[in-house]
Amino acid sequence: MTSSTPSPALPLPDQPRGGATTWYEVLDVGPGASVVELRAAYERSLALVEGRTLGGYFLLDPLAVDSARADIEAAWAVLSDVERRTVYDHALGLPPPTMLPAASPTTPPPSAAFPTPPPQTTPVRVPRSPSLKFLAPVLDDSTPPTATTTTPPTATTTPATTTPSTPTTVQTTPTVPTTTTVPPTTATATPTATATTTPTATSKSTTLPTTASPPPFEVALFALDGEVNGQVLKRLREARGLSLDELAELTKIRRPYLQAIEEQDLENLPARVYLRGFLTQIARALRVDKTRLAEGYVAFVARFGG
Amino acid sequence: MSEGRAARIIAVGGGKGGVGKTLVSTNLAVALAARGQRVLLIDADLGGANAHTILGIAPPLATLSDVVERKASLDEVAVATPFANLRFVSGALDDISAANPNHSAKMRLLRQLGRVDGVDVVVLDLGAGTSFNTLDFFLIAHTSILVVLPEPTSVENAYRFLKAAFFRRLAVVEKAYGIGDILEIARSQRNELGVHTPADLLAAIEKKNPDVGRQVRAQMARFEPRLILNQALPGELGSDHPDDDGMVARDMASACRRFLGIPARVLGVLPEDDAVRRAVRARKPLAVAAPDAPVKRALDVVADRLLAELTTAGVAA
Repeated sequence: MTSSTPSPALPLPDQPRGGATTWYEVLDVGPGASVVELRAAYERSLALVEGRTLGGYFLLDPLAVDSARADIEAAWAVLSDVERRTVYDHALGLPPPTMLPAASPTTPPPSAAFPTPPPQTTPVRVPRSPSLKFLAPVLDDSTPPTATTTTPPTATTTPATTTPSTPTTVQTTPTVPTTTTVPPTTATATPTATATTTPTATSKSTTLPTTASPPPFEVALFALDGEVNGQVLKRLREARGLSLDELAELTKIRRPYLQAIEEQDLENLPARVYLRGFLTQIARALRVDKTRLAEGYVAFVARFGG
Repeated sequence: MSEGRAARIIAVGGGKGGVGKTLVSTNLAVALAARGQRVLLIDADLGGANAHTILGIAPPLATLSDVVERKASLDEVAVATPFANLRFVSGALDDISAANPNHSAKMRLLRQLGRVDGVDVVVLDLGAGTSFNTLDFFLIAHTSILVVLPEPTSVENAYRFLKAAFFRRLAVVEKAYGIGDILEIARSQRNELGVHTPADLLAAIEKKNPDVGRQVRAQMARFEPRLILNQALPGELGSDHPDDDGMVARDMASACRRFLGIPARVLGVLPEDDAVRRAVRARKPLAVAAPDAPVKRALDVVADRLLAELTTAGVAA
């Protein structure tokens, strides 16, 4: 694999030395960042530590600038190189990317990280899956906040071994009025569901490793037809029985960011260039249509933020 | 109600003068009081107090000086204000000795802060600079707010202030953990060990003694300064351009986390607003002088956020 690593001025460190603990954190990107996002984050991080942007003015003394610059270069060297990134992701416990484009070696992996756990991790990291009764996240106050206590015993915590069910096996509860039928999926939601169930699909979106695919029928349940705001995301998460910390663990997105996204806390939202990547990660973890979720939320923020 | 439970302390500092510390602290105090919290606003700008002017009241006769000099208790010098739920303690106006209280006097004052009867929240308006006195008030707070302007001078001072606060806190932690020798080695061999930032120092401590290092790291992680960017140009908020004012606060918080190892967060962005000048001239808080001004609405968002944190902390405590 080729790498466009710039030649570093200092020997590159083996691990981050500042406040960040991973190379992703050094660049302030999510583990699913595309190479375009990485490149932007890399440039931006350099400008910041070198004091070329206002927010970084006199952030560091000169020796510390060299050290931080070396960290950033090292982060870029690892993450911009598909092979090294794959190895690194594995070391972090992130599953490897499965659909590397064959023809273009300079093209980055579509995404290197998924919310699904690697085989060696404990089932704790797997979303408790059974909230099948949770339907399209319309803002309905009667919707129960979480369904974990009503988990049917047939639900499994290991999607990898789950036999894909048909939508008719969806558990319904009387508390949700619209759950007796599978909601109509939209034109864009359906192909995504199909892509997920069919690893051979030519979708450019990242395909989950087959061993870690979530039960595909669940995807169709979340049509995300209405406005996709923070409250919707919160309900989705709660319907999955996930705490913020668990979602942070699954997505490798820091909790404050997740909280800011759910609370529509504009000032603490990740920068827009990262927001979409984070939303995609969240969508994967919540097993909903990532395009709808990301586009919907970004559009919502655009309206909300003026 | 709050008897038996210590008040939450919010400190507003900023390193540099003129960034809006008094504006933020005073108007936040008014906003929190309007939200039902029993608030004590303390002008701890020892030597340069003028929160009373922003509040629109005459400078009280008894001040923080009297507390420092043991002539009165904090409760006794706290005066009522025209605002329900809000009491006020004036800073020393021109008393040089009170501006530099000795260590024991300062410690006595710090201990009193959270223990005034019938107070849920104490809001401290700190002075400029990075003196130990200012830093200690900043660090004792449950919520430490740093006000920054989108200007190089302010950003520079803010980083200096944060680093100074970090090392001041580390000095306190150092005493508790008896790690003076480790710190001394780290300090004396700064360059050999590659210690240039707070994060480097923590790493050096951890290397010398992993157990102590972890504990110190956990202690230091509780220093989570909040940033308020003041006088941001309103038309550009939310843009991703690195020089955008809204971006400055986010960049600063991100840089603190990544490269200094200080888990800073953005608490709010206040737009540049002529209402501030008008309110100060009228000697009234924004809630009175400009209740509908954009800057007032942005401060309300900050107050709501703080209130949510206070409520959560109260439940947890």
